[in-house]
Amino acid sequence: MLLADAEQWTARAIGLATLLATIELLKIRRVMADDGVWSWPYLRREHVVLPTPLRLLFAALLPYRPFVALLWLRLPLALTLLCGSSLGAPLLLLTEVAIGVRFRGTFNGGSDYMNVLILLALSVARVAHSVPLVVTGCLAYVAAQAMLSYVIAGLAKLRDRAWRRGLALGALVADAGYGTPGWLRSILTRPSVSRVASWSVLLFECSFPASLKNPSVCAAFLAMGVLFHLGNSVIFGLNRFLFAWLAAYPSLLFVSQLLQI
Amino acid sequence: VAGSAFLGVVVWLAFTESRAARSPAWALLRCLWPSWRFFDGVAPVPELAVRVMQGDGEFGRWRPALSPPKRRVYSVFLNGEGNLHLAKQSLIERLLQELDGELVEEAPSLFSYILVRRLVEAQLASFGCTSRCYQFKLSEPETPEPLFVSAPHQLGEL
Repeated sequence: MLLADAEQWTARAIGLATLLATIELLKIRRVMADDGVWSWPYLRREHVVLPTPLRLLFAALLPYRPFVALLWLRLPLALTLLCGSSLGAPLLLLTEVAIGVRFRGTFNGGSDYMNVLILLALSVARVAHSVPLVVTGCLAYVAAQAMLSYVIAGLAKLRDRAWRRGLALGALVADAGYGTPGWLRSILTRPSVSRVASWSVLLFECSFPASLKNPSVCAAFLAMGVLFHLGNSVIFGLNRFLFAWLAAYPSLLFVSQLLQI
Repeated sequence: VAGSAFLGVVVWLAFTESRAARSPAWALLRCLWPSWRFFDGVAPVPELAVRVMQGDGEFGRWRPALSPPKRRVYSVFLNGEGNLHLAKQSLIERLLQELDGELVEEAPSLFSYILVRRLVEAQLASFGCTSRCYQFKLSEPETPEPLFVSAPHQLGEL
């Protein structure tokens, strides 16, 4: 995969991720209205802690009407990325941060982190488009963060006794709060299935650095990654993670190829 | 050497205790600081329940205020309601974090408390509730003792 291809596919994938996320937010926008749960007249009180320039910026962007306009603006920006151009990345990055701040940090946790860091990398790559070393550095940064995301998550789970004993996944899906479909819950709460599934997650996440061995091994890991995120989407409803992490995969593939040379 | 150093950083990051952003300003800008710990402990998801005052001046039974929406095949692509449910759940978890070490009397001044009240009032409106007085509680499933019970509040007082 050439550097330009990796950059373009990253742009396409993050374009799709932000497009879907924006459609979701537009669909539920009533909760951000002045009479909704995340009402700006209340949220703004918390902004007194921000430095004045940021406070003024968010005071202009985050009230209900401008914020909804911002969400509509994200649609064409996401589409330009989907078409392979990272021209809209800096502006989309600003809207992504604004969404995080509107929800007091993040709306969807990990997927927001991944979207922000990929858009940041694409924005820098766009500005320094004529310097291949900088563009390579941006993609390496995305790859490093994607790898960290798996390894840290895996090692942190490994510290937990329930994960080591293979009980964790069964216990998590048994919790009604995640809304796991009944048929899946009845399968995953079986001790033998829970043990195999828990250890599969641990092994996949902890062994992820091996994906950089060569492009073929990397492709195999990424295929497992797609299945892993698809599973999380069905089991825990974390659909945004699938698309956000997919956007990091071209960088991982590119870096695995780079290390091979 | 670079690989070992990278691995060292990874292990250090994974095994150091995570700290919630202590500065309120940084907490608002949290999306700029990735945290890659997911499901690293098996803790029950806290439940939000609400009860309203009946005509006789007594509170009725507690009932759950949030339930996850049914997942569809297309939820893999578009899951707005599901992600909204997760955001509401995060709001409840954040309130519990903020209540830790706080005096119960000071809870209503917490910003997360105000937002959870707005959430409860929105849910009551969706239930078609006509009572003016309500109370909410946070608890863990299958644990009889609640984690927190609010004082009675009037609808529309916020």
